[in-house]
Amino acid sequence: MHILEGVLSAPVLLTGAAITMAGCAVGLKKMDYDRVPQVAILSSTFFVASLVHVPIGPSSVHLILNGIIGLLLGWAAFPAILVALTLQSILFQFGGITALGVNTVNVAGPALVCYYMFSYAVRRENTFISLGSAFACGFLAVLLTSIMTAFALIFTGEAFMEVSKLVVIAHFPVMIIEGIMSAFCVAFLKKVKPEILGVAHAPIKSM
Amino acid sequence: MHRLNLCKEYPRLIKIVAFFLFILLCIAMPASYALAHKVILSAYVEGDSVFVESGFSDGSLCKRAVIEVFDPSGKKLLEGKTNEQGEFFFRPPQKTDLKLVLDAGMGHRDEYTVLADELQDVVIGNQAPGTEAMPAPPAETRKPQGVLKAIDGINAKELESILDRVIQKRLRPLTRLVAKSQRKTGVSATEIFSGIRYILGLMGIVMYFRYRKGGKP
Repeated sequence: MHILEGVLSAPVLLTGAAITMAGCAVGLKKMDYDRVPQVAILSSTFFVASLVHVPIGPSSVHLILNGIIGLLLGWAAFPAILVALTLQSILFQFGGITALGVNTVNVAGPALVCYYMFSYAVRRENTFISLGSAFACGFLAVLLTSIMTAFALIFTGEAFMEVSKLVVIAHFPVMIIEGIMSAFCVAFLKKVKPEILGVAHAPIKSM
Repeated sequence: MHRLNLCKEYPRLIKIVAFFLFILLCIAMPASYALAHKVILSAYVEGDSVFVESGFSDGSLCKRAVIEVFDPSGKKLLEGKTNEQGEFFFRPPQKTDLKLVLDAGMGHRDEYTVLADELQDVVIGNQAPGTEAMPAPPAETRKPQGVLKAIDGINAKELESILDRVIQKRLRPLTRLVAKSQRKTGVSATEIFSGIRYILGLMGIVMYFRYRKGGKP
């Protein structure tokens, strides 16, 4: 979600910047030093994932991967995504520097929501519940991101129906792809490194 | 067996390797996809028309996008859509600076200003803007006569206009090339890897301060 320079109105930009600052403060405060490498790796994953483009209509959409990032990082998703977006806007001119705040909120906000909604369900031993919620996590994160982007544009004054429909519909393929990717990721991590999902030693017994 | 031991002894290593593989997958998978993102608009005056070319930063075209033309005071003069080649042309309705705005939706937009200077030689017409085809330069049919007549008496003005047309025609491929290369500010592997290195470098800085404070490794 890279809204460019000069598209959004000042109140939207300032709100976005304020929320991003607050989110980053909480994220840095909560971030355990032992998890710094993990945050960095996921930050670079996000950085690269945005280059995977799916052309749709006159525009194009790209992978976001905020579902899995939120799931693994929680509040630390805010600083991770802010860093990646900053580098993208400097190196690739993806998104404006002034729009960084809004863009970060649009990506990291849903990541955080998904963390609270699914981090417990994903840890369950039951494969169906675990992978199902991982899929839902990836799907919902992109859905929320597209809805938030639509709202950011609407508050600036673009026509409501047209924009929101376009952004949300255009991201539908991405939602499916990311749902599947999240499910694979969770399945893989559960096998190889369950601690990363917050499972202490053994998966939580399903009730 | 050896692999199992590795997993137990270096869990973090495995984790990092796994994610790097994931990143590599992300890079390798989309090789065929366009790395499109930023839209870029460029315009040049040719004959009596302003030609607008639009595209994404990887050089792909920006089809059926809305282009609006404003005068310096912000009044909308006309509006149109780009064709399948991402092109659009219009007859400028007045000789002032013209601000062109391209909107490809979802926050993809760009602006370009055609200066009044460039429009000096334009004959103001009020034909509707269009994208059907390039208007055939009127020079094509008249040129042979002009050249023949040049022998018995040609004034400076005629000569200038003939030269103008011919030069414009010859320069067209070049103008396009320049316009296209202006758009090409795309992503290269160097930038991708430097971005990743920046992030890892930041991680290094954080780790440095942590260890300097005397935290437990």
